[in-house]
Order: sequence, then C-alpha cells, then structure tokens
Amino acid sequence: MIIKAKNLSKSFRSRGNKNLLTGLWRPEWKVKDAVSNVSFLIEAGEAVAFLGPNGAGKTTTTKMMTGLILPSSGSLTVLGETPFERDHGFLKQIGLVMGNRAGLNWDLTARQSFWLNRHIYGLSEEQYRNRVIELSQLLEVDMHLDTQVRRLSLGERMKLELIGAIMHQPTLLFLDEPTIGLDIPSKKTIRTFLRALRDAGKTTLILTSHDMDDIEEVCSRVIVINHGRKIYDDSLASLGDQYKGVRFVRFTFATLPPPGVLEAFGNILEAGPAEVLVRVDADRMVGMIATISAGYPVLDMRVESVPLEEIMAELFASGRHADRS
Amino acid sequence: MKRWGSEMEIGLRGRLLWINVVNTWQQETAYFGNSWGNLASTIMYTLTYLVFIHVIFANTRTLAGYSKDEMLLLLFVIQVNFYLIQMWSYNNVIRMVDDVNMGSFDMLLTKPLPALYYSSIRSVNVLTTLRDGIPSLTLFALAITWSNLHTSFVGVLAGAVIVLLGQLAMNVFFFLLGVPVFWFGQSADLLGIGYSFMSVNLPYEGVGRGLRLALTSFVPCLLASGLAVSVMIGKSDAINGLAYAALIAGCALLVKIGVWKMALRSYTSASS
Repeated sequence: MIIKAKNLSKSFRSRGNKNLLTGLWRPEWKVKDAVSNVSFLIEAGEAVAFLGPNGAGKTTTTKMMTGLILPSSGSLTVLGETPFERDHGFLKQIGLVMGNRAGLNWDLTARQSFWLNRHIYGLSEEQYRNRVIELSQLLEVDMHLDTQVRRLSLGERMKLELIGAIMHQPTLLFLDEPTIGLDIPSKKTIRTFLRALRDAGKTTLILTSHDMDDIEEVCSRVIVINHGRKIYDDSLASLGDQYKGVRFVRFTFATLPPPGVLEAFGNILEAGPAEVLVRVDADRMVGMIATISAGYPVLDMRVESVPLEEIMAELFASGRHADRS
Repeated sequence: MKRWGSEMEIGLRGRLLWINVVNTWQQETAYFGNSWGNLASTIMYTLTYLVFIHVIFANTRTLAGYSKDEMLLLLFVIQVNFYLIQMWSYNNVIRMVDDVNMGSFDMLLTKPLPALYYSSIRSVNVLTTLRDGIPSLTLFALAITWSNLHTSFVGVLAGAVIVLLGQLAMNVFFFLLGVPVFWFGQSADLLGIGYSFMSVNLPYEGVGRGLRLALTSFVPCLLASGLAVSVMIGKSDAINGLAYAALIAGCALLVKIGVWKMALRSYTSASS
C-alpha cells in the first residue's frame, strides 16, 4: 500500500464573533471539522479521484497526504512515511500540482525555475536536459521554455507547472484542479498526458477536480467526501451501477412540446431553446420515445450514458454517511 | 543535526544560495527600469544627513562622546546594515508573509528543501543593494577623515564580525514579526514596526543601560551598528562585544528554529 489513512481527522479553529468590537478582546472560537474519521488505502499505480463539493474536505485530505498540514487525529502513512515529518526522502518521491497556485517563479522563465528544481532534486545535467526536452515536447510547450512565466497563457503555464512537478519522476503525484480555467485543447493535452503517465504504471495519481471529464479520463477509482466524511469509495464504473434502471434521453425539437408532456415520463435535467435532457426509468423509455416521436417534431434523439455530474449531484445531496467500501 | 551534518546538505545549502542569488539577479534585471527612483531618494537622504551632521558638529566637538568622524563612521555602518537587512532579511520575510497568506508556501513546503533556510535566502537582491548602496556609502566614506579615527585591526575585525552577528539577530527579529502569519493569516503590518527599527541612528554609549540591553537583545537594532562601531573605535572591549553578540545571535537562532517548528504545526494552508 502506498497510502494508508485510518480515522483521519482535521479540525480548524476560527473566530466566530459577530460583534466587531467585543470580538476583538473576547473572541469566540468555532471549531470546524474539515475531515472526520476518513479511512482509505491506496495501492501503487492507482489513479484515484477525490471528489466532493466545495468545502467538503477533499483538499484538506490531500494536504495532509502531502505533509502540508498536521492531522488532528488518526494515522496516516504515505510511501511508508509520516508525511508531516517532511523527510527529504519522502518529499523527493512526491509531486504536487495545484491549479490555483504557482510553483514557477512569475518573473523568471520556466527554464530558470527548472534549473532550481534540478538542484533541489539532485538531477544530473543530462537527466535534467533530457527530461525537460521530453516533457515539454509531449505537452507542446517546448517553444515557451525561455519565455517569462508571467507572459504565458494560463494553459501554457499549467503545462509548465506540470513539468516542474514531475521532472524528478515522482512515485506519487498529487493534482489539485490541474485543468481549472483551461481551454478545451489544453485540458485535452493534460488529460492525455496524465493518462499516459497512469498507463506507464510508475506513478500513482491522486486527483482532485470538479471537472468530471478529468475524472472519467484519468481515474479508475473515486473517493467521495462530503461534510468531511467519506461517503463513497469504489471504482468509477460501479458508481453508475445504481443507475442501471435509469436512462437519459436527449431530444432536439423543431418546436418544443408544451409544458407537462415530457414531465409526464420523467425529470427534465436540462432544457435549452430546442434541446431537452430527460431522465426516465428504463421500462418507460420506449413508451416515451414512441409517444414523443409520434406527437412532436423531433429532429434528433440520443440515449446518453449517465452523466457523472448527475451521479455526483445525487450523491452529494443524499447526505449518506455510510461507507460503501 | 542530521540535516546540517552531512556534506550533501551543506552542499545543497550552498547551491540553493547561489541559485537564489542568480535568480534574484535575473528578476531584478527583468524589471531593471523599475526602481531607479530609489537611487535618487537615497542620494538625497544621504546628502541631507551629511549636511545635518556638518551643522551639528559646527557647534559642538562631540555628541554622546563621539567626534564628527566617529559619528560619520557610525552612520556609515548603519547604512551598511540597512542595505544588508534590506538585501536578505526584510525582503525574504515579506515574501514568506505573502506566500503563507496567499497559499503559495505550499509549493515550497512540498519540496525536499531545508525549508527554513530556503525561505530565509529566497531573495538576495544583490543588484538593487549595489545600485542603491554604493553611491550612498561612497558619499559617507568620502565625508569621513579616516586618519582621525583611532581604530585597531582587532577592533575593526571584531566590529565586522559583530555586524554579521547583528544581522543574524535582526533577521530573527524580522522573522518573529512575520511569523504570526502562520496563526493569523496576515502579519504585514507587524513588519512595519520592524522597518522603523532598521535605521536606528543611535550611538551605543548614547543610551541608558536598560535601553541598551533592550536594543541589543529583544530588538537587536543596536547590535549590528552601535555595538559594532563602539568596538571598532575602541570604546567597548572587542572580546566582550564579540561574546555578547555571539550569545544574542545564537539565542536568536535557537528561538527562530523553535518558533518555526511551532509555526509549521499551526500551518493551515490557505484554501485553494
């Protein structure tokens, strides 16, 4: 096991006074449990997604795994070490990419920042040069290595951040919202790259993202955290099992049917000027399609797989605190 | 001791210092046109100061027991200390405060670095210091009649070492003003207090015993300049001065390491 977490908890204390004056000398401290008794095991080579709504505790869990913050209670070992001790041997084996944080120096070129990383991780000149060339070509940013980082686009910068985080070939790579704010081609390049990294089997990936496409394309296992507790821990495939009896049908109409027609068969999930996505029980789907096609001007119709967003929304809303694993 | 002990670690620290000096130089030259204004204001400040000293010593032979040339030497050393503090202490603590406040410190703490050492030498503004400091220090040096100073080789050497030890103590002083950011999320205003102590223009003998003790220990601004000059011109004993400065710097370093460990335990990392 590369990561073992048992009853991991983290609480934060914050000032809770509403009164601006008395709060200055008589603070009321509020304790918030960001993570509560979370346990999981992760094996080498896995690609695991940590999912949850904002403030659920997934980033706090990731930060405990990287040694950034000290757990309040519970036990945690990563690569056989206690992360918070920040042993250099441990830190040499991990990499961290945060979509909202800059690892590269804003005022320098990426190559100048990589030079620092080369010395920090003890890479030889040849290893460093080969690695930077290989990664920058794969991520299509080789022409930007000598441009000041602040002059790069967000996508270019993110790819270079990724190079900085993995040039030392970490055993364990943490990615927190690595595609946030990026355009579609950049997201695609990064996902393809991460998939290749996963398939090579040498790097364990821990991904936190709100972009379900990131999760679907990179990860095989999902850990869902809500209100600081783990509510799901299983494969991505089995996450959709509970939706076996449900279908999602997308209609494109020349003119939308009157209100109430589609609702009679199922729930409307999305409604545009001409497009409607309907969630319907599997045994009612054929009847719905026949009725709608016969009575209304349908231009196109598709039966879609269960959108991961839909599954997540239900999972978060359900408030289940049971650990399925 | 494990981290300081191995040759590899010492080598790494040396390399990190060199890389940061080079990287800061690259940063400074990236915006080279930006801060030439500082040079003009520094020269104006120096000239005003020199005129002020000239006017005062036109009416009195000594001030707090210091002749005009001794006073100019004190001001020269104060300026040296000001630029040295600015070069590595103040900028690095400001950067630490900003990084912790914004969450960028995460990226430093997840690298296999001696983090306290690294965050203390991250920016070493050699170019800015040379550009702003050399003209000002040259003016002070030209104003001093060096032959009027009664100095000895041992005194000057001991004074120079006290300057370095005082720098170390001031570095810790700034660090202690900045480190509350780990608990409260911000401490930039506290650093403003430290800035006002950066160029305390007082001769060592010009303050009472209690204040002298306070200004060489808790707020060690008198150590690197006042005590150092006092030793250089033979007003204070070199060995005693050195021992005292070494004691303060040693204690300060231990405090810094202890507080750093506490700070890391309280680090919450800004939300992403």
